[in-house]
Amino acid sequence: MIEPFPGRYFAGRGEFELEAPNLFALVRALDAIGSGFAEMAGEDAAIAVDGVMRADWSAPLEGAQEVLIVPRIAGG
Amino acid sequence: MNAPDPMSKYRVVGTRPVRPDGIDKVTGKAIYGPDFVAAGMIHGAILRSPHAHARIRSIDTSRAEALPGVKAVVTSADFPGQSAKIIAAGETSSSLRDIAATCLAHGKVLYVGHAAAAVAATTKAIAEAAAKLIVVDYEVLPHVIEVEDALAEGAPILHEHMITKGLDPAPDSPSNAANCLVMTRGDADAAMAGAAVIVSGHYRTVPVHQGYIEPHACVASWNADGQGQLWVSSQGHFDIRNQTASVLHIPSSDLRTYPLEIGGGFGGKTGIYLEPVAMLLSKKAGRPVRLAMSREDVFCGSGPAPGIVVDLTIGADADGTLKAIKAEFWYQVGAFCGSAVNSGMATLLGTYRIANAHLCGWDVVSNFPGTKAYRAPGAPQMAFALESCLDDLARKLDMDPLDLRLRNAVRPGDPGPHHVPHGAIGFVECLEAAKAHPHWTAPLGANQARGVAGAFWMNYGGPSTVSVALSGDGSVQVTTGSPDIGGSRASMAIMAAEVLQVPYERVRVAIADTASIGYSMVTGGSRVTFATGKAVVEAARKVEETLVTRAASLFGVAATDVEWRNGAAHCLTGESAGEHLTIGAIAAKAGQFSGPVSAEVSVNPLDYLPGFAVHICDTEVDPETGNVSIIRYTTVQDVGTAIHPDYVEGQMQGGAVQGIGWALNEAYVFDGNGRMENPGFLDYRMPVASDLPMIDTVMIEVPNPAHPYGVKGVGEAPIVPPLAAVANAVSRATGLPMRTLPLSPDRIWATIQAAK
Repeated sequence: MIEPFPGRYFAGRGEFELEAPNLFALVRALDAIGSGFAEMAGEDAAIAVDGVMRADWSAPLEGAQEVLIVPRIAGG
Repeated sequence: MNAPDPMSKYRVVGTRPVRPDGIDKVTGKAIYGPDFVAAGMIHGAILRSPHAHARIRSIDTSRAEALPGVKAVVTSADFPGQSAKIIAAGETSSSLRDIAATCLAHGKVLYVGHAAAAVAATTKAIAEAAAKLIVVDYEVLPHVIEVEDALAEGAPILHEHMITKGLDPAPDSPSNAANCLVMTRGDADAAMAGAAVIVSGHYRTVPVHQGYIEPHACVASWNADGQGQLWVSSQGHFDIRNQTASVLHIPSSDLRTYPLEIGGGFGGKTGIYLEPVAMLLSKKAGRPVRLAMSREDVFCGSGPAPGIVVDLTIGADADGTLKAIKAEFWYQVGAFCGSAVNSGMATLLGTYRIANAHLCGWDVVSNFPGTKAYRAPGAPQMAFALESCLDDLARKLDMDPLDLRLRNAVRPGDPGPHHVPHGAIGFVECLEAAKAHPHWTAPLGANQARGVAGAFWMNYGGPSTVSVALSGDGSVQVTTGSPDIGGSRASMAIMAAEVLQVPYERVRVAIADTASIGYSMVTGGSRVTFATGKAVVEAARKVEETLVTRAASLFGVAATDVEWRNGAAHCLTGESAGEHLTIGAIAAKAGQFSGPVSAEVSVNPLDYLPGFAVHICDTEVDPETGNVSIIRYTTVQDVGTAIHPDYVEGQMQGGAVQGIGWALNEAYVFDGNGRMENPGFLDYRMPVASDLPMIDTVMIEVPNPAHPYGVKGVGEAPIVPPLAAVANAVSRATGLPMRTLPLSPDRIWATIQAAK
């Protein structure tokens, strides 16, 4: 993941080896490490799975190699 | 150079039909925010702070309440208590406490124009007179406007609870720095040390307003049963409803919200200012209440775009290959935190291949209205720094500035600013088209020079809900929840007509209220033609599928033996082979099937692609006065597929014009008391038609493969390059660096004199 999430929730750590069936489970697992992350992620994070932005957090992660959590930026 | 005629790949996509809402808008029939009237409606007025920073000791409303005709008075004491909970607020998220305090000051006023109390009365004149009778006892506090002053030792603190986020260890005392964000890529120090050429600069822009013509306005009605209605002009009535309901602690479904026409937003109409206040006034008065801002209210009471201060250094090889970038920057965000630090970083990292970066961004509050989004929020300011610095690099290397950008431009597959790879992007195509454009090599006269700048903007997708329904005669009704700001009624109709293969005029588009269709995110982020358009296409395809299935039953064949073509179902086999049924003939049979033909679709697409642009600007500088004239301007942009090219070109031209205004004249000018000195269009100098040449547009259509017709967002990228394109031209014309905006005549004249 990239800032601001590592600094705010994970003491600066931005990489984790985790297994999860879907993004909801992954965010829950991260929330167990960095409390409060899940609530913030729901509003402010965008997530890419193997380089492709993923809208549906319930979709299976089976076979995915890399999940990237980045700030959500919309526009004007 | 006009865009080439659309390719014949599509029937309707790429054509330029008349806009369906045009007649209403040019004849004055369209109902905008300040036009709407509800039965029994009364009028509201807001009392605004005369101080830039003051503690509210007390508010005495008794004289106002005693004035004949006054029906209600509201202060922040009438607001439910607010938490610091973060909620979705248009395109971003924000603290509920800050959202509420933006509507009515709580405890302190934080800028001149901050709403302190409100009145509703039988006439507007009575409401305004009553507002003046409200006595607010202020303890005036010192104020700050500039970033440096806000961060200085001993500076007055706006928010006593604000501890800078992002610092380790966390500070133990409050400050005006809301947030610090550091992003690194590679080893910037080492790469910079190995660079053959280093350029750097200190850049500054000031807050500017979006300048939408229509002021904020709403009508609110709170019924005795607790349910309410809101009529609003906004970029997203669903989000206005949600924010208002959150502030008032009522269920969203109890607040039916109706969209009115919108006279410009550009990001500034994604949040709330008036709505909860009008609701509370209505609740007390028992009548619908209209609140509308004046132009001065808009400037002093709604959010402009932030200013910025940037220290930027770029290192490159002798051939111009970028090696490293280092930046520290401070967004000047007004009274409430939540600026565009992330998008500023994306601007620095999204446009060119730069392997090594160290970026540090700050979000700094001070005593003017909390800033809001403005078309590619945060990017034009940062691109001004980046693209100006690149121009310095090109000069230092004696290199064509377009060649420098071509050497470093991001290509498909390159990592984006957040490491997600760029998809089918067309930045290189834009740069090549700019270089091939006759403008690039046209001769220049005395005191004239040419500037160029590139641009990247991420764009967005997000949730939208759409329904497509057929009438019994086969005409098509598309209903969305996306307010039409830039011509989306036309683009939605075009896409539905394309799918159903019917004439554009057979499709009508309506924007429904919050009780009549599911949620759609705001019209912003250049998302509607992409995301809502995807939903339209999907719903229209479902309708087509139903039509084919029903036609098959009528023909007595399998659905696979029916082809949809030219707005009709054609039978391919059996006794009816060669026959066809029109869309109207099938729709008329609804009573013999399971019901009318319709489909509703909700989507949340995130497979949007960014937009890229290149602008070329010729300026002429009058050395006697410092006045700058724009004498030629060309915009080149990767637009994906242009659904309605007129509207795409309009976005490109509009963005360029707003950016030119930002570069040359627009600025919040404050006096020593923090009061804006130019809160009107006479003194806040936006460009008008007579100031500018024709803005030439070159559309580069690199389709987005994730959209059925290849759509990319187009509304924001065009405002990113003009600040630097203009500044680079003026720098070349004068031979002097132009690192502070606006480039008003007095500033340029003083710069020229200082250099003599």
